Amino acid sequence: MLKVMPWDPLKLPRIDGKAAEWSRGFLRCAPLRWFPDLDREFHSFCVNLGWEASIQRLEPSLQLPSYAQERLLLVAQGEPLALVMEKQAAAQLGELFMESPVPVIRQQGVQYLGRRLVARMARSWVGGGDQQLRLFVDQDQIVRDDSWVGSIQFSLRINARSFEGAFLVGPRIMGLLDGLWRRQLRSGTQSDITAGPLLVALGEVRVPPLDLPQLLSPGTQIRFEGYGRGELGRGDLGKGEGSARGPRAAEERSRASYEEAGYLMKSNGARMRVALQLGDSHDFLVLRSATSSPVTGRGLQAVSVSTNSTIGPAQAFESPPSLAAEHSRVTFGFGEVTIDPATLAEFCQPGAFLETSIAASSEVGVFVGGELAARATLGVTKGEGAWVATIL
Amino acid sequence: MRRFSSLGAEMRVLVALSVLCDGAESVEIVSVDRRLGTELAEAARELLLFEPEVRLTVVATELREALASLTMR
Repeated sequence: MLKVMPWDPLKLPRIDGKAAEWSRGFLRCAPLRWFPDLDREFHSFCVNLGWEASIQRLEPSLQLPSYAQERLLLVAQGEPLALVMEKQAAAQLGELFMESPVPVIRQQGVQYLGRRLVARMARSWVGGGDQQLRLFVDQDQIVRDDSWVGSIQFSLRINARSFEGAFLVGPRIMGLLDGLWRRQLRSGTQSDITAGPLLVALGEVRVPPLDLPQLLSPGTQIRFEGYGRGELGRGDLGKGEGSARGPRAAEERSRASYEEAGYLMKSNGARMRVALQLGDSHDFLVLRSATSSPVTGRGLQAVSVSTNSTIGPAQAFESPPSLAAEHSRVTFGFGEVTIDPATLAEFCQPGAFLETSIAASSEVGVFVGGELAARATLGVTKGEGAWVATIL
Repeated sequence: MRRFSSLGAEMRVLVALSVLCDGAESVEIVSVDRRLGTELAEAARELLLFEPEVRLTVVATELREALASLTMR
């Protein structure tokens, strides 16, 4: 008998409720997609100034920058918006543009650059169909600090120097961008792609069919490899994918809050990588899409700006590993979810969350050929930290 | 340049910079100000009335003077 430690599903990390709410829209959006001419607008401007400029980062976030800021207050669709830059960076940018170290002169340069950006954004906006972007500078408005609920943070590189800044957004703008992104995703969804019920799977073994009766008899312990595990990260999808073993892994799995990796699996075995978490205020499973991030390229001037590409269901689901003719696939799963095509298209974005009605439990279903054949209790081996399912 | 001269120093710097950098498009760029957009656009149009060969000198001079008045504060 294997020495097995119980696995407590309530040790799974809990999601941030707000992050989950915005995870399929605002937090995944690629804002440059709505301003396709912006790089061309600035291209000639940078060339004339002799600048080599590129956007290193453009990232929606629920965090607000904590640095001291130079701020240009704006109004967008009737709601306050702010363009901010880290104070030191703003001073350096102003000095670069005005070729003067005098603070008031530098500041004027930054004001002009900010207003120029705003004007170009208003002109190049394509996000709302025929609807124009009503975007203005309004430095006289009184805006409370709690008006901001998120940001779009950016990092520019100009002549080998980095400049950090952000757009601070209020709830209305956040909702506008969230809805716009999700509608555009959904409009690109093929309505005939139906996911059907999808299994939230943890791992599998492949056995000869003749071994199934013994394998599925009560009390049998089945050691299996999980699909990998991820370290608790803050939306950093690249971390920790892959199996982790050893005493520390075992101890962590039983004791610490540790994200587990799994798959959403179709009946034909096609699978999409997910990470397992819990709700912020409930004990149902929440899935985080762990598909590979699309390759993006961003830049102004020397490097052309390309818009973010999204992963659709066709790319998100991988083909199953080939199965020898004489083997059966035995899958260990927490339960099934049914997702409409539009929601699936949203969820395929790396980092998106999907709440389920599957209660977190150490009990799993044992599926053979997509059919529920038995139930088992999950544990982990002492030492190795491998999964063990004990048939009930 | 009645409109331009009636602006405060900060706004004169802004308009002059935009006319120098953006030419005819400066009217659109400066008009993005919710409160002063119309006035700033009119001021930009005034400066744009100068022939290009004269405009650079005139606007650069105005810019220097506006910056100087800011630095003297």
